[in-house]
Amino acid sequence: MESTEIYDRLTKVFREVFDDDEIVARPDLTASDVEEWDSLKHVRLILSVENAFKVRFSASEVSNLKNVADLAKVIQSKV
Amino acid sequence: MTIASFTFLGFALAVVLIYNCFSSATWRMWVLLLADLAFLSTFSHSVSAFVPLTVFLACGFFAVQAMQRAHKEASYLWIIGGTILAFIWLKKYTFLPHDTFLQFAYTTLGLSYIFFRVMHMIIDSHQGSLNQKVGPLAYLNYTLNFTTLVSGPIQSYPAFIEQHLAPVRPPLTIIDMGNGLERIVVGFFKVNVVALVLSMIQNQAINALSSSQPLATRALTGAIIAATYPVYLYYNFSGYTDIVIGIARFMRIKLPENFNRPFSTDNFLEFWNHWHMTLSGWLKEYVYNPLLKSLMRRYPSPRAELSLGVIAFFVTFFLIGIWHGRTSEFLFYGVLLGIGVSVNKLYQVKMAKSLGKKQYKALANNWMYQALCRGLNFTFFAFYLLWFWSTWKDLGKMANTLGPSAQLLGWSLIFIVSTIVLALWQVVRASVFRVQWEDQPFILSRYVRTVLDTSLVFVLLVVMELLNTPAPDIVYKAF
Repeated sequence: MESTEIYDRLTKVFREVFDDDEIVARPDLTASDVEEWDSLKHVRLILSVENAFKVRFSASEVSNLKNVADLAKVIQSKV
Repeated sequence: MTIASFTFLGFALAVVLIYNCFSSATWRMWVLLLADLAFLSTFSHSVSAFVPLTVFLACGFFAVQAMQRAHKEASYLWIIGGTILAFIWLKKYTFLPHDTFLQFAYTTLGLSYIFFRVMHMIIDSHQGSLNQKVGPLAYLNYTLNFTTLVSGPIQSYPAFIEQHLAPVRPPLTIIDMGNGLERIVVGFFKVNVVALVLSMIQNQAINALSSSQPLATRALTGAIIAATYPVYLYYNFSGYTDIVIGIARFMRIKLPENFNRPFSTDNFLEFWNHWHMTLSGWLKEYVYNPLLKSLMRRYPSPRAELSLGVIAFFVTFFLIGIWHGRTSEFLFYGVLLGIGVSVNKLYQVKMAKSLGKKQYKALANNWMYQALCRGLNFTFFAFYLLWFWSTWKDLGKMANTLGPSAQLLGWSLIFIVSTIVLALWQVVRASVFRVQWEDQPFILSRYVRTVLDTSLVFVLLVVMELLNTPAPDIVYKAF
């Protein structure tokens, strides 16, 4: 899957999870950039991403994501 | 061998020198293993005392091997369940029948931390995220590492291997050695001076407490007993962590940090992100996230999100509590942690809803509100730690001696004093860091640090000579 396609789909997931039509899944986006992004929303986001891309993340993958670029990299390795 | 002793420093220095002599990673790992075994052997002279720990380690190793070979779900669940049960049984949790326990003396030193490391390797091997092949030498060094055996921090296996088996080792510069030495000095000072003095103050207060004291004196004595322990625990635990982080620096190993100014945080959740960070990080990774994920999968409605989050928080913090000890006091400690985190989360959500996000954010950034929250955070920490360091019997005795009025006065005093002291500390710290020199805070310049560290060494030696009392051992040695 092309990285632009991954980011486009991620943007759609982010907008749905955070209920924000302005949000864009940029590689450098982190939890501290999004006010709503707490530990609850993080798990909700991971679930939505798993459903959107038909992938499963391991426990360490869920915890060790530093930014959206990491998330995209893990998705890329699984699809 | 106590970590905050000159004997341990001498031992660590010898290990560091020999370890750094070898350019071969395999040889270094053998040196480390010999050091681990030598360190472990100082805790018991009986070979049979190490048999249960050896069997636990062997089972853990074969479990990791099995998971790396095949990720079978059925055997994985049996292995996870068996490992947890073996840990509970070896630690002699009091809810298990006493007759089932081994009836000879054996060491469980560091078992709690070994358990976390083994569980991490089993889970990650099963989920396919532990790509490195785990050999017996690396496994033993990772689980028994003499620097992190007694008090952590909990480092992940990939991070451990990456540093110990690095084909090109990072240089050991004079700055690295200076930083390492500084951590050791600060750690020694925290344990042998601050923690020692605080434990003496607390013991004196416990001995002085009497129903014949006037109400105000009794309340003050009670406040001293409850409030000194959290500070003592911080200096004891973080001091030991500083020492091992400093020693590891000389081996070109960067251990993860366990503390980040916890008393500066202004809510329960944030506190645990800054206190024993590697423990809370581990539980977040392997309990909170997976549990919440499976709950959300089962109940996908966003309206259930908060309730599911509270359940996951409660379970995680309850487990933090009962991991610390095997008696009913720790069970209650876990319940208090669970209640604390749940109330904190519900309060945040409720406030954001009733005030609006912007208003609540503004309130949370208000210095007065932050100061009060810090004080409340500290007071609650002091309260639930009562079940960490005491027993039902002693707590009952203290409560009876104090009486309801002195208890109320005592807790109010802790809240007021901690609010003021922590607020002043924020102001003083910020002012000190504002003084700049050569584009950095003056306090962080190497000249100032050299003077400060030298002063610490001087005070440390004087206090050790004067008091001639061994510092309390690491609190976590029992876990």
